[in-house]
Amino acid sequence: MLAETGRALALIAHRDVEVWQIAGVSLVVSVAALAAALVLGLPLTYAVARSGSRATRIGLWAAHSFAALPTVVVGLTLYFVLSAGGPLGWTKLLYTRTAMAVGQFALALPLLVAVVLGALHRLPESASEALLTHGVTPGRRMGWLLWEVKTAVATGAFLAFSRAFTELGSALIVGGNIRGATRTLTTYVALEYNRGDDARAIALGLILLAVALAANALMHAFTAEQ
Amino acid sequence: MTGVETTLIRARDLTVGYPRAAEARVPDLDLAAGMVWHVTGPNGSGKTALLKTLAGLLRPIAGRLERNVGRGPGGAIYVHSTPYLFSGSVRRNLALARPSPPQMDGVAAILGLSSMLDRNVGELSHGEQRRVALARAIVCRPHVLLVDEPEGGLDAEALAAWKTCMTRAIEDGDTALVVATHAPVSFNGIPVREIRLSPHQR
Repeated sequence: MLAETGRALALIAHRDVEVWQIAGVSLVVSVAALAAALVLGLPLTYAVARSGSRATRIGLWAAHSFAALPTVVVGLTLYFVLSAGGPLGWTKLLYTRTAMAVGQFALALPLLVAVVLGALHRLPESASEALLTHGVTPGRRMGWLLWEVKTAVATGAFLAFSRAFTELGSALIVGGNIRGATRTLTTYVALEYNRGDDARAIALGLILLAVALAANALMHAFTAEQ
Repeated sequence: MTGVETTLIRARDLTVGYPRAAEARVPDLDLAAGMVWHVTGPNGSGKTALLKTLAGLLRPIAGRLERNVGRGPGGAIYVHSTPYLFSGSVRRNLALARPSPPQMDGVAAILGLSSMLDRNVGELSHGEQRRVALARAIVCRPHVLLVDEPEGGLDAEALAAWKTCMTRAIEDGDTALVVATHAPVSFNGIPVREIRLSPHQR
């Protein structure tokens, strides 16, 4: 095991082209999924929070339920939607990075929504009333209130990214682990492990771990500053 | 605003309150610039609900409410008894409705906030936070300023500064002031009209 880990570190240190290319694909796909979750999820969450306590309760229930979805279920659902006979088969997105990003977006979104919606719900009524009474426009109101829950946004974004970056099930099913295209850290680790190339699997696992820890450090640095 | 007689808010047979909660009947009133109104009544008699309704934050339960002013700068602004200040500096809070910098500095100077413009609101005392909330509203030059328990947490000096500032705005015919408080209300001899909310009317 020690020898394998040594070989793994050597692969990383010597910038094994394939290892770093795979890491790049993983990062690009997961960052795209996170960006989509932020761009669509934050306004959606704000709209739900504004719609009252009942809508918020339903929103929280839905977000928590979807957050618990197994990754393979999301992958399979997306597979049927995108496969040749599926409703979106014509897009020919199956086995592409876009399909992987969509799957990861579906996995990441509920976590972001759950954390941010809870935080917006806990803000006192006087916060939104202060914005209303001072004549702040709807778009700016959203910005002010989301900034008030920025630590929750950071935490939600971190959880969403972690879920996207470390998932295997969906990426494997809709990505197909195609070398040089849709092969990611998690799909490759599974493959190399099956093939018995422990050093490369460990190297990729270490990169996965490093990125997850770096994201965590970033989130903590931001929240500590607030 | 054209003159002292312009009615800013008119209420007839008004009932205020929160959904699925108790209600309060409000005596008819015509709010015009240059006036001071004192809302009185025991706890739970609907003082806050009335202020929020006049400010356009709550829908009337029943009756007619004509508001000839909008919300925000130049309109009606409500100041909570426990105001919410947004995270960050005093300056960020005063800039909520994007006033001009000289206007902001002027109000900050009157209310003794000039030296703390760059301080984080989380570091301020309760009284200082109340001053920030009042300054944040005054800097918008509202035609109707509705203040819930203005004296809460303010020291004598801050209260006097606020009254001076308001007296000037009221005497200039720019502003109608509505305060809900259990304390006596006086603004340099300006007549104070009373709106008495009674629990018997609920």
